[in-house]
Amino acid sequence: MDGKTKKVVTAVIVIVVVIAIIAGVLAYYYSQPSEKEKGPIKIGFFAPLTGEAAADGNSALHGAQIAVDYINSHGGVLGRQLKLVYYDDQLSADQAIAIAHKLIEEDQVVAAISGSYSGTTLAASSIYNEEGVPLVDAYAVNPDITKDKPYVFRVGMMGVTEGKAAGYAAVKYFNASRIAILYIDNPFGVSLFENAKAQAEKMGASVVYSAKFSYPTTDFTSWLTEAKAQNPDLLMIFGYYNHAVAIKQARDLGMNIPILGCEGFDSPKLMEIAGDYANGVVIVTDLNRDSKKDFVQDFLKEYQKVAGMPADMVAASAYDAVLVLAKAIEKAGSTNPKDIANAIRSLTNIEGATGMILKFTNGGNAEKYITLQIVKNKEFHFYAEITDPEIITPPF
Amino acid sequence: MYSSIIQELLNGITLSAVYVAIALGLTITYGILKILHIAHAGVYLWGAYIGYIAYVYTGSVILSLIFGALGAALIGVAIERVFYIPALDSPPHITLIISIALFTLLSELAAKTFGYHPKGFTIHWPIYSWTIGGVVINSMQIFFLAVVYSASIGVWLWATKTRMGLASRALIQDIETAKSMGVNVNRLIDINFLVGSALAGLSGVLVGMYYTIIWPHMGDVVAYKGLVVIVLGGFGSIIGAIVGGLILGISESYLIAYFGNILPRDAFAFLIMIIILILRPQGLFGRSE
Repeated sequence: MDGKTKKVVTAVIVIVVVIAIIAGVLAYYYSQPSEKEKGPIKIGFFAPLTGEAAADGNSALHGAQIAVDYINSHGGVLGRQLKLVYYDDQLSADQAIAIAHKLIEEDQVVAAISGSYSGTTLAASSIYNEEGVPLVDAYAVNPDITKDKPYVFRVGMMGVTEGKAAGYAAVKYFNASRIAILYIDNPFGVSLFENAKAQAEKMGASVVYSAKFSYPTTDFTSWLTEAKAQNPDLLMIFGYYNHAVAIKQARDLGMNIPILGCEGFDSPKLMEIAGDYANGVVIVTDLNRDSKKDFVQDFLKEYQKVAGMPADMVAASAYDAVLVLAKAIEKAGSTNPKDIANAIRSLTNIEGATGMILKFTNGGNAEKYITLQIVKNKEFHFYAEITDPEIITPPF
Repeated sequence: MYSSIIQELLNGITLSAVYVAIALGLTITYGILKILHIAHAGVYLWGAYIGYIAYVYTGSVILSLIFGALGAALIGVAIERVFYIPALDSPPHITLIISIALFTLLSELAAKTFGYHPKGFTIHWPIYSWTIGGVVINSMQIFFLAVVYSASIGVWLWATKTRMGLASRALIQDIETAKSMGVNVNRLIDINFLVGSALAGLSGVLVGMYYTIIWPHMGDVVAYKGLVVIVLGGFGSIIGAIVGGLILGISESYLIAYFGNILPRDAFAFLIMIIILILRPQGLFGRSE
């Protein structure tokens, strides 16, 4: 071979090698998706894991993780394992938005769950909706979270529904005609108050006294004294378990009338703070601890093991959010976010830790039965179930 | 109707108890060092937690109160020696910033140590209640009021009637003169912080027991209400702290009962303070300078 031929041969070899390398890289790159098909299905999760709301955030994380473990140990979804990718939003809307981008763009999750409160969930919900990745809100109550967002769903109760249920329960189960209401001065409390009042009035009862309190309140006696003067036959307290002392103060003032609370009371901390005074209190919630279902009992046991205390509504709601996503992925037969969102809309009668979800409305809100729980011997037990469609159907 | 007016008065006196106790501690420490001791509310909160731990381990209400008061006293003196004394020559805004930072630190430290969840502080004592003319009072309330008010009156008598208390008041006038007259100034400062902080710790434990709950941010409301009270009563005035505390608690009770849906509870506290400041800028018992 002369020098010229040698050069041509060398050039050809170099070109062939370069093409081979590029082809190899491309082949490897394109083989990735099929590799990805076999790996775990990633589900994003965010909640306040530090700071003032850390108690609820960690509770939600435990609940979601227990659901993932349960599903994985029972064969996973589409023959693949689920993997929870979670971040701490510190109850900051900015963080929740940054996490949304991270989960969608870097972690490439197929769907996400909010174990956070209304402010953070609302801020992040638009990102998921715009990016077309389904977001399931576990327990945040703000109506706007799901409003006009086809990719956002809610397994928890809306404030409107919970309030209506409280008003309905007061008249139907306690024959209340003169109701006194103390409620927390935030969107959750105000929504419960307005809807409980409207429902009770619709059914012939009247609200004879109402007052709102701020979050750090420990002394409710002034309001309770005024409430008592109106001779009410039922007292509603819409706050969180931090406000359990209101129950004690009402009893100390001699108000021996039924007390009706809300989801915010749904925690073993209620009994720790109110002690024996909690006995007899009825709450509107969606976690039924007396459920005979295996997985509910499994969840309650696992939660006690992981968290060292009995489960609460927050944990059960996060558990159900995972359950809904798993069922939807199974039904869609795909991990394509759009298929998952469509599948959620077509799910019916999903038995969750928080009871039966009949279906999701067009607005993405779960329509489900509502449970009343009563405190007996410092434990929550089944009291009644509200199935009346007029009460349980979400407003949109 | 009549009975609910009396009931609201009783509610107000109950609310006032902790305002009086906190304001007294703030007054004697402010009086002596001229430092606005915001971290006093952090001492109160730690007293509550120490008392809670003591109750969990011993099951004794009395030991819980003693440990809460002692623990708080030590924390108070430590703050004074480590942070305030070295900063005494700094301008007032420096010590104020130190104090606010310390308060935040104490709250967050409690959260990290004991958890963010509130703790239920229910004691085993049976509760009896009596209805007198439509007004309801119970044994726990009587115990709470008796201990907080007698401790507060004790501190008041100590500050105004004993030699040591009077020497401390003299110190307020002029540290340099007191020093030249052979008064052990550092010891007097220590004792004032000890007494004020013990009272804060004691009331922290009692508030925990009475409201059956303690949580890492329980000092927040107390921090600014304490300030309102000493502004109301006049900075450094002992009698002002007591009367100011009573006025705040009782008026708060009536205002939220009758106008509770107009303004949130804490807005009333500042409204009362602003009205007093307009009428009497030096506070009710402060001397005008």
